[in-house]
Formats: sequence, C-alpha cells, structure tokens
Amino acid sequence: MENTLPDLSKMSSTTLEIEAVYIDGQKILFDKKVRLMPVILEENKNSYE
Amino acid sequence: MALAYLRYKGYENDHYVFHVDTGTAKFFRYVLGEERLKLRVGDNDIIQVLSGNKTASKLFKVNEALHRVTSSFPLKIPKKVITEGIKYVQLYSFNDVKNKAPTVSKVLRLMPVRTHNSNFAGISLSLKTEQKLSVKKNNIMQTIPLKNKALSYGEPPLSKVMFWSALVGALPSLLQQAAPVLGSLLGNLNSGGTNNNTQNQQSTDITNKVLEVLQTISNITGQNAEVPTSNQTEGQATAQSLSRSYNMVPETLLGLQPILEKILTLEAVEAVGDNPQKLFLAIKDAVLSTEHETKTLDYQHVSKSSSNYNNAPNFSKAKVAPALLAAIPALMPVIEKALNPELIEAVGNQPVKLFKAIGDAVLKMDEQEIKHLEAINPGVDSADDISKLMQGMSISRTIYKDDLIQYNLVKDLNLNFIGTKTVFFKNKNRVLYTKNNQVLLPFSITTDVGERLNKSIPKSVIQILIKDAETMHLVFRKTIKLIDVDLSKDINEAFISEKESESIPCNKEFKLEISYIWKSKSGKNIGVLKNQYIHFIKDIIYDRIGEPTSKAIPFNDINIHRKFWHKIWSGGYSNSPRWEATFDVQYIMALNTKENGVSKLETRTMDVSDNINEDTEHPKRRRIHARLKSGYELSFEAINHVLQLLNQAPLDAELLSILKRSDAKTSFSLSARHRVEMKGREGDTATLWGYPEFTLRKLNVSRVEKIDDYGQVIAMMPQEHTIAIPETIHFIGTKSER
Repeated sequence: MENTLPDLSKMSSTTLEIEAVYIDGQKILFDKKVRLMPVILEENKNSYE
Repeated sequence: MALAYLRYKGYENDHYVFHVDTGTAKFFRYVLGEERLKLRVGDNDIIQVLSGNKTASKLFKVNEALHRVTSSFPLKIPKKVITEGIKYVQLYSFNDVKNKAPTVSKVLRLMPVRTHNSNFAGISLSLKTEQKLSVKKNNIMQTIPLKNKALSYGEPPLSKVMFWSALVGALPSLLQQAAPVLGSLLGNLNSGGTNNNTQNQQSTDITNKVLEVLQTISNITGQNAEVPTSNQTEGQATAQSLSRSYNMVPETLLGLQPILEKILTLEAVEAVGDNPQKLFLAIKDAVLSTEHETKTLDYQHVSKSSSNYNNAPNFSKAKVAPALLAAIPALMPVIEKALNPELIEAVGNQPVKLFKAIGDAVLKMDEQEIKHLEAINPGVDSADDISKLMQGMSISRTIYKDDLIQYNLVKDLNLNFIGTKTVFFKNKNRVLYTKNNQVLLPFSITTDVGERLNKSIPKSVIQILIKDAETMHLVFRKTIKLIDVDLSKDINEAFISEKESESIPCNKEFKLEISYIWKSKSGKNIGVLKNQYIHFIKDIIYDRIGEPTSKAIPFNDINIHRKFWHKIWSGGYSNSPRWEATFDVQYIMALNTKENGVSKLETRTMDVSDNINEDTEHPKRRRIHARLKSGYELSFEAINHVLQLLNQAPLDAELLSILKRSDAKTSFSLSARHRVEMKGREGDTATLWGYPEFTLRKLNVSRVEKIDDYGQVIAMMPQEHTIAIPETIHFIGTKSER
C-alpha cells in the first residue's frame, strides 16, 4: 500500500501530468513547498483580513 | 529463507542507494524497467514483475563473511544506469549461480525529477514505502485530540506599523515642542540633555548605553537584510524579533536620551532601548505618575532650565506632546482606522499638523464615539483641545489618581539603584530576581552631578510598583513608610518578601518602578523615581528556541500523519464547460496554550472576481479569483507527540508548564502565502491539501545557579532540550480524473 507522498515540489506540472500520482483517487496537479514565516497573530478576528 | 527486500534510501556520491535484504539467498541482481505486469502464480497468488524494455544487472554474490552476521546490506546503483524512461526497479535473489529458486521483491516506483523545461534530472524517492506501518507511531497519533475550529487568527493591519513608525519618526520634534511640560523629566533638551552643561557620570553612562543600543539596532538591521528567505536558520530568531517590534529610529533614541537619564536605569535602557513601544510606554508612565508642575529643591542650588520653558505663548502647543505620548498606545486602534499612512508620512515632521490630522481622524469615528467625545469636549478645533481630548481618552490615568501616590518630580535629584547586576539572558544582559528569596532593592539619592545630600527627611515613603512591560497593568504595589532618613547614606529599606513575590508571574518582563516621596515645605508630595526592567524566576526559565538540529522532516505519510493533513479547499464549478480558479492562499500556523491537541481551522473564502453573470448565460470559461485563509493550531502537548513520532524525548511536565507561561508560543505564530491555480471541465472537482514539514530545534532554557544577597540571579546554568517546529507547508493541488 502506498502511504508516503514523496516531495514533488521540484517537479514541473508537465512531469506530474506524465508521471501521475494520486491522493484519495485524485491526480496531483502540483506540490508547492512554502516556508512558514514568523508573524504577529491576533486572536478573535471576525473579518477575512 | 531466501528474501528479496528492496527499499530506497537516498542519493549519495552519484549513486542511488537501496537497502537490500536477501535472507539466505547468496546471489542477486536488480532489474530496471519501464513497465510492469502482474503474473498469476499458482491458483491464488499474483506477483508483479518488470516487462517491456528492461535492463538486468549482472549477477552479484553477497559478501559471505558479512552475510553470516546480517543478511541486509546497501546496494548502490550508479546514477548513469538509471536513464530517462526507467520507472521501476526490482530485486531478484537466488540460491545459486544458476539462478535457482528465484525470489522477487516488490516493484519500486521511481519518480523522475524533471526541470521545468522537462529535461530529465534523476529520480526522487519512490512512492512505495516498504517500511511496515509503525504501530507505535499510529498509537502516538491516536492519542492526539483533533478538533475542527473556526478561524480566529489574523495579522495586525500593515497601517498600524506604518502609522507607528511615522509617529516614532516625528517624536524628536514633538519633544522639542513639549519641553516646557516635560521639563520635570528633561534637563535641557537644547543643551544635549545635561544641566549646567555638565556632562556628569550618569549622563555619560546613559549616552554610552544609548550608543550601544543604536549599534545593536544597526547590527540587527544589517543581519536581517542578509537573511535569505529560502534557507533561514539562525537568522530566523532575529527576523522574528524584528517582526514583533517596530523599528527604532536612531535619531529618536538620541532625542529621548535626556528623558531616559531621569527615568530609566542603564540596564533598563539596554533591555527596552530597541523597542519603541516599551520605551514610550515607560515615558508615558513617568509623565502620568509625576504630572503637575516642575519642582526644584529650595534648599539646594540647582541649575536653571531654559527660560523659554515657561513662556505662555508656547503653552498650548507644549501641552500637546505629553498628552500625545500618553495617548498614543490607547488611541492607536481607533486612529489607524481613519488615518492614511501617506498623510502621516507627509505631515509627520510637523507636530501641530500631525495633531490636527489626528484630531480630525478622531472626529471621524462612528456616531457613538463622536457623541461620547462631544460630551467630553465639544467643538474641538485647536491643538490644546485635542490635548484635552486625548487626555480624556487616556484610560489608564484613573488608575494613578485613585490608587497611587501622586507627587511632583524633583528634577535636580536622581534615584540610583545600588548593586544591580545583569546576566545574559534572551540575547541581552538583563536583571533577574529570584522568587525563592527575599528581594532587596537598595538605592541612593544624589544630585545631577552625583553628589550625596547632607539632608535628613523626617517622613518619607518608598513606593514600589511592578507593572507588565507590555501593557503597564499593575501587578504589584507596595509602600514602605520611613522616618528620619539620612540622604547622605544608602537607603536599604525597599524590599519584596518571598511571600509577596508569589503573586508576580514568572518568566515575564516587568517594569519595576521605585519612587522615593516626601513632603515639600509647602506640604505637597515631591519625589524621585527610577525604572528597571526585570524578570522573576523560580527555578527554570524559558530562554529561546535556537538553531535547527535536523533537516526538515515531512509529515507526508497519509496514514500516520493524517491529523496533520488539512483539506483546505475542495470543490468545482458547474454550468460552464470549463472553469479556472485562482486562489491567493494564506495559511496560518498557531499554538494554543489552553488546549492539548491539534485543530484544523476553517477555511474562509473571499471572492475577488468572478466572471459569472446571473442574468445571462453562464460563461463558456468560468474564471474565479478568490482569497482563501485557513490554518492549523498546535499545542505544546501535540508538539510533545510530534517529538515522540520523531523518536525524540518528550518535554516533561515542568518544562511544558514553563513553556505555556512563557512567550515561546510566539515562535509558533507562522504564516505562509501562496497563489495556486486550478482548472477543470464541468463536473470536475479539485482539492487543495496542506501538510507540514517539521524541524527539530534546540530549546534553550536556563536554570538558576547562583543568587546574591539582594535576591538577584547572578549566574544561570543553560540547558538544552529539543523541540519540533513546523518549518514549511506543502500545498498539494489534486483534481478528479474523467
């Protein structure tokens, strides 16, 4: 059973189109790895921003 | 028993390394192929083998000496052997050289890596994991409580930072205007901050400390500029600290020097000098607690301040600055809603215009607020009126009037802490007191030139106030009445008992304010004060989260790490033959100290544009642009589970308790932004997933090692632990197939 998703962030969408990988029966379109940056967070925000 | 076990380990020195176990079989070869097929073996069994265009290696023989010890060993396949088109690898093992009794491994899928122009660039990890599902890891995951919660986090608007920076930039000129009223705090602004042009030792020390702080600020700013965003390691702590406080303009700190000299100790300047918010809070606090007119000692020869200070024509303008200083923190949330940052930038160096603009902004508040303000002071149109308005809005003033001793500051005298020592803690030299002993706070009273007074005070009071450094909320108050105090000697009567310090929280920065107050000849309260920034410690104190000790570890196992996988968005669009969706995603990672599990936060969507027109037919190509905001909430208990998943020792209960009461949670206030694009046909559905990668980092705490007779901590024993912190987030887009 395939459980572990490899890091596909270095692959182009073309590669993913050719070498299809699936999650929950859906084909992966992209894998973008984004660094989490430190921010100031305030709680109890009701609006979008 | 013969085995054929194959698992991909990684890439090393131009070779792909696999872990191989052949059991009792002594010969093996690997096969590379482009296709695979299933073969029926016997009645019920099916095996997979490679087919089509395939390449088999020569037959290898295991090292028999080593094979007697262990049947597993590394297999290195040269990089050049795996060419474009190779998708699978399989291991065959045999009992003898004639390929007798073959055993085949599972087929491993190799993921080719291509550059963006589709050139082949090697292979990546196989999707297949041959590791048995770890029951232990699954059990750990089962114990983490999972919730789905509403999204309740946000970042403060940018305008607040810009607004604050503009005001900070304008402060030197504000202080010039404010000189008459701030005279009680200032010696002589125009002469560089010293009376009689005498550069006494204290002024020199403060000047040096201010220069030190400025040097630190410039160093930090320089370091920050060099921090690469993609490979941030040690620089992260710096970037974090900068992101949490607004930049201090060097001119402002120099301009404030005369005030600092009167109200802050050298150690306090170092502790908060690079944090304008704390610095101005301290100034505001001093203004409020020592309001009224300036006092000079009638029995002591003192220098005269600038004669302009009491000129009537300047008075209305002059009143504004201290009021503004006092009101800025309280006013910030309302003013920022109404003031345009560019406007502040434009008028920032012209105080009166700035006050007028602020006044106008205040009057643009909603109806209820205007009515309230009108009740305080109708017809606001002058700087002086704005001053009153701001004073009316300064909510903290009531605290001082009701509870604390009011007095006028004696501008020619200084209160000096005695025997203050610092220890290096949280990247600075700081003053730390223990909660396990009585704390003694000796001080002396001197003139501006550092001379003791040959004077005895029949009745006097020491007022000790401890306030939250961020909010200035009072957490401790004590007054000590004294009789016949000889000012030529040290005053050793100020203390905080062990029992009294129990109510003061540990691991938090506080402003310690000591005032020495007595009656003037005219019967009014007069006195001197000095502030110190301190921490109280019991046994262990959180210091910082330090450098990484591991590479990023992806939580990419769909089964084991399921609770860390977040379905951020899922859906599709009907009634149009094709659709294209563009999402600007913000993903927040936060830590909740009141919970003990993890929470997936709801996704909020805000449409930016949509080309659908309800009145006519749906467009042939539906285009949607929206903003998505979602997130994930951790807890320290969940971090402990993560540590166990990564085979690390969990943090003990004492340490967890200390972390919960510290500011460590701010290191988990993180955010990632990315634009994703998805498209499909009518009926297609798409999903946006997110999963994190964690990094192990050093957790630095300090244990109290040595305490002096005053209850000050003079030596700390640093301790290192390991903590896991989310470092990156993977945004995975998927789409249904037809």
